[in-house]
Amino acid sequence: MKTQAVLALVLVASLLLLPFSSSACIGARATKEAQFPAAELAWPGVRVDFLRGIEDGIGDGALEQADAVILRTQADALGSALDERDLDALRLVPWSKAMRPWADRGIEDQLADGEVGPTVAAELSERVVNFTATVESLQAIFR
Amino acid sequence: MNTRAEFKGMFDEALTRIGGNLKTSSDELAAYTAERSAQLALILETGEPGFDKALIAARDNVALKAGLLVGKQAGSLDREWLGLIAGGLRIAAAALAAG
Repeated sequence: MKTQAVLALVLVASLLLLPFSSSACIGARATKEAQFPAAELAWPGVRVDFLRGIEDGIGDGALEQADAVILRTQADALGSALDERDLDALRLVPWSKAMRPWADRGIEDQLADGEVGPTVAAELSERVVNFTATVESLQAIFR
Repeated sequence: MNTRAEFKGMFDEALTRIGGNLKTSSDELAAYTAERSAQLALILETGEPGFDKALIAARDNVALKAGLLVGKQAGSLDREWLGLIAGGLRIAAAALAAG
């Protein structure tokens, strides 16, 4: 009898807490989704570095044209996902593993060619780091 | 020039006037923005090529750190916020480089 009473109490407590936990989840999701505008803002600059890295990779023979086409298509998909606030589409984009290294390479190439100095390159790299963290945060929503 | 305090005052005033919320505290964001302006000042002082690229990247970095810069129109970055960040960074960098 005592066990039943305890179970009933736990059940009632769970039901009482449910709306609060749901609203907390919705709030957290809204907060994370609010990162879309900043990611969208940063994407044009990151994209320039990314495309520069691809061109450098092709020039150095580190990247095949066919793979470059795939990467450019993925960049278009990323831009569209950010523009349309489409979390499902964003999750399909392999930014961190397959794409980000080319943005890093693009910055290194600009530095090597003397187009930017080391402090400028560091600021561009900082943007890639922040952009990656934001994209990963968005991709992790409700996963 | 206490750039961190200047930026904090600017962000607090903008939050009241424009509205919106930040992912981080205005104090942390001010510290991060002050770091960015110090880097920009260094670029100006040394005459490194690519200042404009760095300025845009610094603006993006502050926006990404702030996370939530949503003003009156939910879902879009408030242009006033962006102008404030970019303008503040440029002025602070020039002042630091001159001082």
